[in-house]
Amino acid sequence: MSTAVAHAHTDDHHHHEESFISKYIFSMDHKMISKQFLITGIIMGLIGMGMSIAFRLQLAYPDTSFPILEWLFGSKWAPDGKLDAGYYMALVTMHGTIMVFYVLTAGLSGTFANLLLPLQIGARDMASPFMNMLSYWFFFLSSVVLLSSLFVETGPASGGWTIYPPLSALPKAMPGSGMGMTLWLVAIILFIASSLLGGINYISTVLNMRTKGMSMTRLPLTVWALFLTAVLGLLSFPVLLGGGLLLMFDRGFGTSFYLSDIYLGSAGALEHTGGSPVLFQHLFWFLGHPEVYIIIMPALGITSEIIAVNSRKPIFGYTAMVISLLGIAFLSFIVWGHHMFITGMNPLLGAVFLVTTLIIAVPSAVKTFNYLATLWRGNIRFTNAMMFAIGLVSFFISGGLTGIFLGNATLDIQLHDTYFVVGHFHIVMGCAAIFGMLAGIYHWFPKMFGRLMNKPLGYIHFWLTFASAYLVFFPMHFIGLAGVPRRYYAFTLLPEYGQWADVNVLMTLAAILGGIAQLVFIYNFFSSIFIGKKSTENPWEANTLEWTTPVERIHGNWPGAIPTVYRWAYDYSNPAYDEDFKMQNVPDESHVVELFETNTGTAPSTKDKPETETVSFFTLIRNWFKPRTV
Amino acid sequence: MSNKFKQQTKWLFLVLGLLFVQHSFAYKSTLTRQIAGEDGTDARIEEGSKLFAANCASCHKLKGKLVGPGLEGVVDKYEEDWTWLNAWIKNNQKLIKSGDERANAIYTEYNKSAMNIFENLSDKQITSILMWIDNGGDGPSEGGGGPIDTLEPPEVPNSLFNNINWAVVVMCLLVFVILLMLFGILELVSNVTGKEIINWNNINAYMMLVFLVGFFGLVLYEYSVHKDFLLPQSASEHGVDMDRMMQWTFAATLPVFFITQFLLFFFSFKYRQKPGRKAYFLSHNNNLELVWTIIPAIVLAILVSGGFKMWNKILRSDAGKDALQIEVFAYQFGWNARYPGEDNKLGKANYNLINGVNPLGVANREHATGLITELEEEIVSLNEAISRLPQEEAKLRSTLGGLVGDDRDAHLREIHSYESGDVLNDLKLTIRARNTQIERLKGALAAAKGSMFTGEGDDDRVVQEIHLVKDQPITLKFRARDVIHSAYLPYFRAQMNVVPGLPTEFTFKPILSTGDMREIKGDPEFDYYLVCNKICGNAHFNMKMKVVVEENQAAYDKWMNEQAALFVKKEETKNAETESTEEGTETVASN
Repeated sequence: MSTAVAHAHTDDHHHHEESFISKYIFSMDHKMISKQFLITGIIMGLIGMGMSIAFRLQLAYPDTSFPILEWLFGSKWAPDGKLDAGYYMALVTMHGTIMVFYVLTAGLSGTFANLLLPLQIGARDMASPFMNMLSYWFFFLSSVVLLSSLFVETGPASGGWTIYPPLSALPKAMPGSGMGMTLWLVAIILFIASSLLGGINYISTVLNMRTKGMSMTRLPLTVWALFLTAVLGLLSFPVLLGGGLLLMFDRGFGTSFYLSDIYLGSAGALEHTGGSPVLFQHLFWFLGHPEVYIIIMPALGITSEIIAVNSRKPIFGYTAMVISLLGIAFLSFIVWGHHMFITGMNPLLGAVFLVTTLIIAVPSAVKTFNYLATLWRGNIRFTNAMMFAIGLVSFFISGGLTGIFLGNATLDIQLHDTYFVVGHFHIVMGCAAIFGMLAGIYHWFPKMFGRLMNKPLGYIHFWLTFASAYLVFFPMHFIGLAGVPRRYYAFTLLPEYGQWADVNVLMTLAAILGGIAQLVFIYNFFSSIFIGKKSTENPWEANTLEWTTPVERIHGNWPGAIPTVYRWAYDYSNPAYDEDFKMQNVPDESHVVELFETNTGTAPSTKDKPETETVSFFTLIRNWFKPRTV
Repeated sequence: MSNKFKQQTKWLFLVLGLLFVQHSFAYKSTLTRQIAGEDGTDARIEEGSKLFAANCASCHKLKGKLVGPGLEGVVDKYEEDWTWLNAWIKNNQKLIKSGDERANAIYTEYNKSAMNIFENLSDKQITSILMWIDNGGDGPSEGGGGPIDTLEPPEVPNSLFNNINWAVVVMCLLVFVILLMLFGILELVSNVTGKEIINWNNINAYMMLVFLVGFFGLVLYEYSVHKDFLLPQSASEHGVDMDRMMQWTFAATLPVFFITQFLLFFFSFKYRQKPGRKAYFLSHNNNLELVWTIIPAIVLAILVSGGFKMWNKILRSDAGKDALQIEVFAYQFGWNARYPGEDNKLGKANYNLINGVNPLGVANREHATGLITELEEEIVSLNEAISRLPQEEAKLRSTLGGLVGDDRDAHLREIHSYESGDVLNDLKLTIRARNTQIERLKGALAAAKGSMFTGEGDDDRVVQEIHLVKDQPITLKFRARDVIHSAYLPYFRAQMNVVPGLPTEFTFKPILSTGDMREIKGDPEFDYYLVCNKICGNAHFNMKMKVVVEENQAAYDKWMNEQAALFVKKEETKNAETESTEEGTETVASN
């Protein structure tokens, strides 16, 4: 379609001498924008992690004075080195917001969608490079606004990252609901603008700018995952935008969308009448749940690619992987109510959401088993990226299984808002997605900076992070099963909470260990940009198109013509060829006509029984993915 | 007051305490001074202890800051100024709005976190609380503050955090640098010889096995340590079924957990790269994929249908239709419960009717009329405050000179809030809200049909503990005053959000009395509690209400008879002197 136009257009620009500002700051090159997203995301990640260590110190040592906290937050928020109860809430809220939106949405999707979509589908840049640049700068602005709320008089937003009204709607309900909450809302609105600009771009790029021969069926799974992520974001973020705007009206203009029948201890009876706090929860979780998959799907896509490359095997069940991604994407829109089983929502609705929620476990299970089948009889290279990908699968299993408890409305009555939930989502979307992101960074670092990261340091980073992550979050399930609520500043309410004191210490120490491990990564990342070993064009011997571009990372990606695609992305160890791998742009005379056949692995070994082709569901689906003609 | 009498009252309280109250302390007054012109007695301190636990403990303890400041020494600080302290405790917002300097300074110091209003407390009650505080709270060992400070804090490795040991930091950095150099040298050597010195691939493959063993070992170890704490004995009927479902879910998920984690790490180890080996080309296998789509689907379908049925049974059945209905009321930061009186009906309530003497806003015609007068008086005083604004502003400006640094900044901010009209605006909005409230109250009073003033609420009992009867179903009807709270009763496997403007409820049948559970747990101090489980403000972590499951109806009736009705003539309540400390038991007539 528009590839030819885009080609001609970018060719014009490609030899310009670029100034520092147009090259590094207001760059429209997708590779530079991806680096901007990544580095901003890493910085936000460090801030978010630092906050978590600060409040974990409070949970483990509630009566101890830590001068470092006073030094960091000032005597106002940490008098005598002890965290203030309100500021504890603020840190919890900011940690959640930063990690969910700024690190795992923008940092992960923003980085890898920008880097990989044009490179892997064979395009010279995004469909709209200018919008792409705007997307980053909206994100940057949003980060600045959010962080600035740390410095306002009444402190940052502190009603939890889910900002349920009336707590968030009434400035007098808690100090954090004042100026801090306003800034939070402004930041999120800017963030949504960034996310929508990016999402529209990713979708149009994938749909319109694939190179010759790159049919949807030949897309690497990373592209599929990032594409569907963008679709989810585009459909769900506007709902939060609406919800947030209504909340702003309630806060500032006296409307009553979410407020009714309120008597505030410090302000008396309020005028608001007729609204419903549960309405906000519906609007919030209509984004909030797809958001979980916005976070995890890119990580799963990255993992699919890395596991296939480093097992030297095709990803097992490509079609099933795509279908399960589609299934997850669709189902993620009709399960939001499982966050609200006991919020006063009609119990009939709860029963409906119970059913849809547990169905979504099926495609997730398929993905896990397919990863295991890909590892089976592989020839596994433990690159740093591969280690993190394996770690992700482990987290995905552990966290996915606890989801079966929480998705069951009956069990949720007991487990809702306990530490079981904290353990569950930190493992399944926190750790798993962070591991996907780290795997991606280690894998595509050569594509971003032309150098390799230090391998032994990467191993140290992996093992410390992997062990400490499990040590922090696994015990939380036990605490939750005993009925300990989350978001408590101190466990002094009931004597029985005291029996977890030693476990809380263990979790905090593990969190500190995890923090130190990230310092190793930070050193590795920034030093490798300058002194890392020079990379070759295709250091991992991978098949996808990004490894056909030169190490120099030129504007427009390919110095000559855009490569044509002749096969799917997973021809590893195919017995039909002598080589270990066949890149997507390598022509193959015997398969020129029947392009699609390469997908299904036409040349099985003698042990592999030829498959009987009945008209199955899968065949129908396959026909639906008509290949493009070359 | 004679010593003998003191002894007698002490014994009287001990006996009363043992009979009626689960926890009771005998207080021995050691006060050497008068507080607000009154002598401290054991009885007053006892009263103060209860009032503190009910009204103050969610935000204050004696030693050290909680949400609000530690209250130890508050008596020394305000010894000369009881009237101010009294006014502050009763209605700090009024004081702040009146432009009182000291009030505004405290408000700013605590980050504008607004303290609740306690107009329900009489002068005498406030003095009792101060007596308890001045008497050292619940004793020197605990540092006071009722429910707080019951835990032994874990030992802190001081050297680790408090005094950063720079030698250790330098050592760690050195080790890191040495490692880096070592890796660099190895890399150089392998570049020269063309061979890898360290086979990282094998090392990591074996590490995968080590991790697998360590991971499973730790999971099993932790289970063996904590298994007794998990899912404590269920004390409700549906809880037993729910626990069975939990076990079934464990039975379905644990094998999957162990098998898939094992396969993941084992495959990683077994199929590590070896020279000369090629991976087995296998792109898909439809049958296999169908198997692992259909099996999870079947297992999940079973779990879904079980969960669906039980969910409907717990939340959508009419089984508890005839259960006793009580109201559970949540506010920042505490709980109340309301029981119906002899008529067995809970009176209607409305948030517009809430004030100090009627914390739940139960409808009563006399009270509503009185409230309107009260509100009208407030409007008058607010209007006065508006007329005083220019003077206040001038006063602020005149005191600006001489201030430096943060104090000056804070002062300037305050002046700015006058200049920008924020203060004026705030006052005007408050007046508007009060007028609306008056209008709504008048409308409700005038309503001929469906009036909420049925008198059904007059004999309701507002209490601060829930008492239930073993084996009798109960429906808790939830109402929130300000923000969303969540009533969480882990032993009864019950939880429901408490949402302002949206009535919610939960029905269950307790099957183990408090006594039974004490026996089961071997802990004679054990009590059931209802705790808040939805973030609701700074003192969210400190919001609970005791739940007592009585052995039989007789014990319940006995307790119930001690509770005073909400709206009755004052003479009647005088007899129930021992319980007069309960919030809201004061009569309207007394106002």
